[in-house]
Amino acid sequence: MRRTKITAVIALVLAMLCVIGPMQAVLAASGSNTPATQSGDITGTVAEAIEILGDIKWNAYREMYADAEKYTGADITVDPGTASFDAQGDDASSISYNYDPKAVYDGVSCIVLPEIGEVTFKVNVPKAGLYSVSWDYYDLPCKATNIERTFRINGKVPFNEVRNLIMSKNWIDNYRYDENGAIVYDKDGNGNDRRPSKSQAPCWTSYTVCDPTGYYNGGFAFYFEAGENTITIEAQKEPVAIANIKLGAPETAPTYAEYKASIESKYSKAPADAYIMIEAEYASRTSDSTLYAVNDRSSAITSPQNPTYSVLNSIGGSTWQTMGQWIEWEFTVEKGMAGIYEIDSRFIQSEIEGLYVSRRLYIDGKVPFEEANGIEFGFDNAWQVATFGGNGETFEFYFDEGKHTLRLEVVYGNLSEVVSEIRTALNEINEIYIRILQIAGATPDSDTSYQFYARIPDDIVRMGELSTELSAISEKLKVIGGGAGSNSATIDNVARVLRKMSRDSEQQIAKQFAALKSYIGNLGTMLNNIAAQTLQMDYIVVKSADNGTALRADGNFFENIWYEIRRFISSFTTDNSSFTSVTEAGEDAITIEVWTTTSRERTQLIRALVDEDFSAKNPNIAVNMKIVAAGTLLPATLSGKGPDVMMDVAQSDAINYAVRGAILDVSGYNGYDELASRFHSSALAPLTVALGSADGHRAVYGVPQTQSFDVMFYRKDVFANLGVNVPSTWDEFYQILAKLLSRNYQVGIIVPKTAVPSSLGFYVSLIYQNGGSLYKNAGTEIALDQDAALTSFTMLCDFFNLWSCPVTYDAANRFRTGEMPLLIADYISFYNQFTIYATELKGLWGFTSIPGTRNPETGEIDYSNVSTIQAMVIMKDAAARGTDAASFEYLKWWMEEDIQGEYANELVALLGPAGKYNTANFNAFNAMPWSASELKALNNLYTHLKGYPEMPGGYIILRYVQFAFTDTYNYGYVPSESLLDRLDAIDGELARKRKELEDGKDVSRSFFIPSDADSQ
Amino acid sequence: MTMWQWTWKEMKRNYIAYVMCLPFFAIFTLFTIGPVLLSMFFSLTIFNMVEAPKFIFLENYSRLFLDDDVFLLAVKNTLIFAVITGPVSYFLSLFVAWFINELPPKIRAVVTLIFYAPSISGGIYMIWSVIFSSDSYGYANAILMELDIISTPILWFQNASYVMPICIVVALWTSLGTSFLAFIGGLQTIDKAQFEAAAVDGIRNRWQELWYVTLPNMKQQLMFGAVMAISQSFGFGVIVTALAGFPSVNYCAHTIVHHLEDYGGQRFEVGYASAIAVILFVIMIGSNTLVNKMLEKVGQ
Repeated sequence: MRRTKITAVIALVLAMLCVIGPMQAVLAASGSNTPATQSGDITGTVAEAIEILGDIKWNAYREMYADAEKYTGADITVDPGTASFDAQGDDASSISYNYDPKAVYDGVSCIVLPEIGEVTFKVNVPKAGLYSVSWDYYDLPCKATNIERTFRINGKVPFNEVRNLIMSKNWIDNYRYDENGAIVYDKDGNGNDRRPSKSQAPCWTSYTVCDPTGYYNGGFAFYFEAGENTITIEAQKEPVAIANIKLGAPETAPTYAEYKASIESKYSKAPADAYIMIEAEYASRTSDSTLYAVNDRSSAITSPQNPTYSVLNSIGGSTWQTMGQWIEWEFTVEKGMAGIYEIDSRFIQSEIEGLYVSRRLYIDGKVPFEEANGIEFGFDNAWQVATFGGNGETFEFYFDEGKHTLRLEVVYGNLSEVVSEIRTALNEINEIYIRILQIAGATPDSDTSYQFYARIPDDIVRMGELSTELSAISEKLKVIGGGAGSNSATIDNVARVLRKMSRDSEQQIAKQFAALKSYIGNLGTMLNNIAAQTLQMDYIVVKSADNGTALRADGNFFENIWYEIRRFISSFTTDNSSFTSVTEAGEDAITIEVWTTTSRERTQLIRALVDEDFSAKNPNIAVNMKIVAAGTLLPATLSGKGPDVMMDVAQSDAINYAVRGAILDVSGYNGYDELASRFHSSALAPLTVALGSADGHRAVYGVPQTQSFDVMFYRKDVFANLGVNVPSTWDEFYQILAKLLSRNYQVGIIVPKTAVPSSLGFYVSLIYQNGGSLYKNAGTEIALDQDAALTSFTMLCDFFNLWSCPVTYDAANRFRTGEMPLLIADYISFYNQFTIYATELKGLWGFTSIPGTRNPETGEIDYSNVSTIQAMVIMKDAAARGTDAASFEYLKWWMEEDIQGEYANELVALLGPAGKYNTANFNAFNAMPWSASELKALNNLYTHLKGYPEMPGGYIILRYVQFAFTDTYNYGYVPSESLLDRLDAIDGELARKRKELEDGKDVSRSFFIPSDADSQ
Repeated sequence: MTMWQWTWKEMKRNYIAYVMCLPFFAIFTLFTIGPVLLSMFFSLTIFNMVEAPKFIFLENYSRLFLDDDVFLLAVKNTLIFAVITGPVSYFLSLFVAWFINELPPKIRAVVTLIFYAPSISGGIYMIWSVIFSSDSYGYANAILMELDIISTPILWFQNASYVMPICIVVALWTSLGTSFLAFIGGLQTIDKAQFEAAAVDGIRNRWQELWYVTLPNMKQQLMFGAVMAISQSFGFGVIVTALAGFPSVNYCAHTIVHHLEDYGGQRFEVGYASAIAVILFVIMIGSNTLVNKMLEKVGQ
């Protein structure tokens, strides 16, 4: 039955994944889809998108210049003296490196390119033809993200792939060595290995302009006319220093046969005792901070292994799967051991069923031969050992004495062609899908005549062709995977539906539409799956072919049993929920207990920061950390066993506890004013109340930790195709809404829902924009009967009742398919989810503030946007224990800019781009690896943020607002009446709570909204 | 010798029996009787779980019955749920068990599993939230839209007209649980000789056989099943919460258990929540007694 459930859930998920996959689509494919030519009033990111949509792809470019001559002469060096810099009007005040044409790094004179603007070089080309372009770069230390640049020739982007050139950075682990020079890991308080921190280790790297998406092996060849040309390198992300720009002959590596012949003629085999073991977790360099040693518990013989503690014994896994990520190891060939070697490795590849994952092998920074571009690692659920080879042959390498490096980089290998073909086909199908959607809507009716043959004749012919193309791809995949599998079946399904739709009657198009949607959803998911080249490695062995040491894939029966038994026994003695300090605290130290509800990984990071920084600064405060379940705080407090500091408390909970006297007011502690200055006023508003009366003493119950708010996400490509700007006021929003709806697109609006407490925020934003407030009479009564609140509520309900915006929807899916190109959603969670969910859409979506309301009298636009926070609070027990001042020191320390910045960077390092952390510390938030344009949008937003006050009984508001809303949706009630009907119930609860809490108690229970708050 | 003296003497004589049931009795007192008494005490107070309770006598009860519309709604909903799902699921269990019992042993095992499966596999009822998803891609909405019966998706679990019926159907679907197994067990323990004897005595049809032989022979199981059915039908707020959210829209499927959770968990009014719990306790004891009385009539 459980299985049925899983199958059903999967079926559902698949059914709902509509058009997955690259919408880059709308750009690449056929010429039939040139964006509407625009008059000059399109601005900003939409204008950019229009430009991108006009690009051609590398395939087309290559064909265009198929007859051009390849340059074969010596390299042509570009004179750095011709460089000119243009900041393009971007704000140059906050950048980390300035443009500097005469910089010197590591003894190389170079040009520093900041993270904004573009630099242009002039170059004289002697002869028209195809050239490769290469340069050396130095990865200036900055944020934890790749360097990205756009490449132009004579002011134009030659083809789409060079819009986002990626240059990886160099990262090293800060290992600690014991007296013998071996690497040792620090231990945490529980005896588990602690991952060493990573830092950037810039060095000079040579780079040839090549495909950042990994579909095409080797460098690109660009066509240059004879005479003077310009080369422009435009910043997207991160500063970089470059030198030595050259135009040269497009080069190719020798084949393995040639390489083998060349080494075998000169050298002999390495001696039989040549055996060099490289533990994969001891990488010497990596391309990303996320490539770190991980713990494997699945096998008894992973080296090293420990049944009790978590030891770092392998590298890679789910973080080593994205195109271009590499790991490099160093090893030394001892004296007298030079000769011909083979390379073995122990690894696990259990992700891509029935197919290979591939790695490009570099020896000493070079791909030794053509075949090394795709070393294959087969599929198995267990660990495997294998020798590097291909075509049934073991690869041999020559190593002379001394130090060598070995680097493995993620590539698609022999899948690249298939993946790129599927992706292109999928793009086209998606486009056709959207065009049918625009004619017939999401659920077409097979009895209606939509006149498809008259309206989209080309598409119908194209569907037939695509069907044939897909069948061919499926055949190829069968050859690669050694027979039919689920992957080729997925492709066959799409091919079948397309064939039906193009060949049979017009009714079939409507009839098969739903099937097409679910099948291309599957296809997109499959593509994402096989594109993730996940591989985890235990060790690499470089040895002589004569060496007899046998490598084992897994332990024998007894080893495994013994390992499992010891693991089982140790599970009784290990406490994984508490994180005690590694250092012994002094005699007179105060110990504070800190509880958090966040994940294990995050707690480990906090713990590490406490040990490194807090303990050093506050030697007489010891910190004990514990992970607890969310509901534990109340019973623990009741029994007096509660913590001193609780982290990650929702703003409503903080006030709920505070009003019952369970939380201490932090405003009186030493250094509070400085602490408060680190936050935007909107972050403190929900925690601040006035006691006794609206002008009474202000108490602040907790310190903001994270802050989240709503923004409007939009698909640039769709807007470009429609030829409209992104709306900035609600008036404009309605115009766009009408336009989108007429083409069968949808728009996502936030529905008030009790299950999502922050969903009240959007409604309150509207109220504030209309000049209203949530409460009146200093928080004792609800102000939903005021004009502003009623207008806003009508506006909110009309989105669903008049404009038919969906109430329930999977936002990420529909945004990805393009079905819902405009969407209001919580900023940080949607951003994080979407960045990794739809990597293929990079650059084709953006976000901006939610629209504002124009004041009819003054003409000013109010962009008020409500934020909600999570807080850290000090529990009242701390005062009795005498640990409150120490607890406050902890809060103060944790919200420091440096600490928050470091934590945010560590999270990105740990979780990748999806690990963005919405710290409430404004400066730390800015310092995260945002792109320049994202940062601009965020800074704009920040100034308009507002917090709404929390009052006793406030939980009732969202509940009744939801009831009022569903009544208008279900029964067509008039929104304002429906809301007014609920007012008594809300006011009743507010009054009752106030009475209960104030009854016979002192002034500390009568919470009021400070006179200058709540938007008024 | 008074009764107390006699009791004391008997206890001393049988002390081993008392020692043997002491562990269970201690745990039962600590974790069942204790909390029941404690909540009876708290129901007379205002208690917010952070500060000491304040004694207010019967104010909570008077507010419950006189000043809390939502509670009365919850009582109504609970009774509707209990009256429909309790007996229906009880008789459903009984008759399905009776029919299955007639099947050959091997097939019986398979069929038993099929009927029992929904209730052992935990949150399997979530499948219904897929069928009745409010999205236009939910099965029910998609089919109805396909057939042109509706044009905009129905918010099944946010529309007071649909929430209750759907929840009742789902509750019935999951209700063939432990009592159903007990019935099958009970049916199999009946001595075959009794059926033969009854046939000799002039039983005319299967209904008479059921009433005069089968049921009287499995009274314990019937009682067990009834207790289970009652506690299930009063306490299945979990399913409503999982499907319709908490609180359900307009409190349309708000049961006593929900009301209790609302005050105890969300509003920190443990005193008031205890009063609700006490009332639920009384209702359950009452209906158990009633069922017990009814079962005594079986076979007569």
